[in-house]
Amino acid sequence: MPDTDPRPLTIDIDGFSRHARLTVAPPGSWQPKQAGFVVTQGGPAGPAAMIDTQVVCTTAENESDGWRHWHVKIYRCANGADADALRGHLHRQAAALRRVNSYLPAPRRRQAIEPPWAVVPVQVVRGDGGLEKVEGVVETRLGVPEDDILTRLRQHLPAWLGDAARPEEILFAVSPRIDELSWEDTNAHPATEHLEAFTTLAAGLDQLHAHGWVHCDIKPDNVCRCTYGGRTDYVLIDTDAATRADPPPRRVRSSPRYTYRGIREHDDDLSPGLLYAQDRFGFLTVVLSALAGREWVDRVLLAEDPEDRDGGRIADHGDRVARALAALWPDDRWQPLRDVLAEPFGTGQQGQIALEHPEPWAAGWLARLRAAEARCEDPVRSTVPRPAAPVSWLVSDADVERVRVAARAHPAGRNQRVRLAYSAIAQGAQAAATRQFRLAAWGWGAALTGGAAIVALGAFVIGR
Amino acid sequence: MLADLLARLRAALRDRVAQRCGHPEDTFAAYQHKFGRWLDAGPQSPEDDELAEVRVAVTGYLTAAAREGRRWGTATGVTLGGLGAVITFVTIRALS
Repeated sequence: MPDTDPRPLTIDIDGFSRHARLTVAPPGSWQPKQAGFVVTQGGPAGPAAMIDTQVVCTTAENESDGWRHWHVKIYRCANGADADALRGHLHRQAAALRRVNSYLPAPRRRQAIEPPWAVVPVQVVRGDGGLEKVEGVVETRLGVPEDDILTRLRQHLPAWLGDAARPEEILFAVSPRIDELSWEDTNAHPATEHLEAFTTLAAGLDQLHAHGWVHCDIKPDNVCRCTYGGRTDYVLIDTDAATRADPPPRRVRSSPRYTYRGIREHDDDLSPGLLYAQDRFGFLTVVLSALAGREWVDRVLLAEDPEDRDGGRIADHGDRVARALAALWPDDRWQPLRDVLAEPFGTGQQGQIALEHPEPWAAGWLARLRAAEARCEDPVRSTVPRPAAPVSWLVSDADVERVRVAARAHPAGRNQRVRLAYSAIAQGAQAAATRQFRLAAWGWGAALTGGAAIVALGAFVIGR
Repeated sequence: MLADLLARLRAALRDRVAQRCGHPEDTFAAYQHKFGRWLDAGPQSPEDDELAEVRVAVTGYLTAAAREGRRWGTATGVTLGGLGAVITFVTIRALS
């Protein structure tokens, strides 16, 4: 659809003291995805209804306070009643997930929306311009006069909206856009440096379960990196599948590859325990993808095991996971780490029983994993001195430090810190080159000219 | 005219440094999470092997650029300085 209206479609988000104003970009893809939501009405025990929607994703830029880059999901429902029900569902999801984040320890958090996050916070925005509140903390609305909304929607949203689309059938879900993780294919040594960044996610997962909610679709694609306030955390995104664990939904919207064995076997008879285990199994695959490599996890652990006549996977059996890990990292020093990694895939107290139990599990298991990593002593590493930094008289420590300072300079851009750092390094390199150019040019120029002057004057004096 | 020449030289140097060092993303993307960790860590934080590795890489990148600038500056300084030396010498000799 040609965009003839020069005025952008905007979304206003009000927190305690901040006001974000998002300018929505037209979607890159005009093809909507079909999505179905099982929505309960009148509380968790109320009747469930299936709502079919069309979903298109796009982005938005914040021209005011707070996060600069945002992700926007646009939902179109069949009618206003469906949109109302879906809005209630998304609203409950958003509030539950926000509550999880608020329980994470954050002494420096000034506003509810600020990190640390276990789950990226989502704001729901009504297409009809009405005010939407999440737990009285954050308010959202389209930043256009109500009578102007239909025109703006038609001018800036995809063609699939159609001329008959009405604003009350449209919903937006906006969330801060954070950095994607780049996964290694296979790691010949466990990349344990990732473990620290999972701490917040593990604590948040336990909080989520303690509040009776489950994410249901934890997988490497749904984990991103958030860098904020001097720390880096891995954070869950895409909360469309999140639901209450009790009563359990009739079916789970998980990705088949990352689905827990118990749910594959009992998908018509779900229990809260199976749903907790689904999240924990997803968390295990994500941690293993970080440590061992994503390609390895997909190819070895999650593909069908040719030795299994029932079509199972290696990930469905603790002993086979242990063997696969031993083949990947055969060095004996990794034995403590391999043991703790393989345990949850088994059927014992540390395996299936712990995974399906309502008690918190993720933070405790991650702590045990980190303790096991500390026991994996490297006899070589302790004797080889760290390579010393090359002594460079051309570049000072202050020049290098300037890169970090520049990368942290923009408060809203902390999640884009790496890109800011690239820019700062490029500028620092140009500045260093120019400085040395000037020093050398003036130095040599002055020395040669001055030298000639001294020689000439000397010759003049001697000649007299 | 000299200022114009120096400005052109500086512009050419900018291009040369960009060409010689490459885009920082090409160099530092390989460090992945280590690069992010280094950015998060302050100057007072204890430095482990990973942080030291990134700091050395950043220092190396900046040093390569500075070395290129120094090389160009030396060439320019010697050329202009030599010219200045000849002019100075001839002028003083002529005046004396």
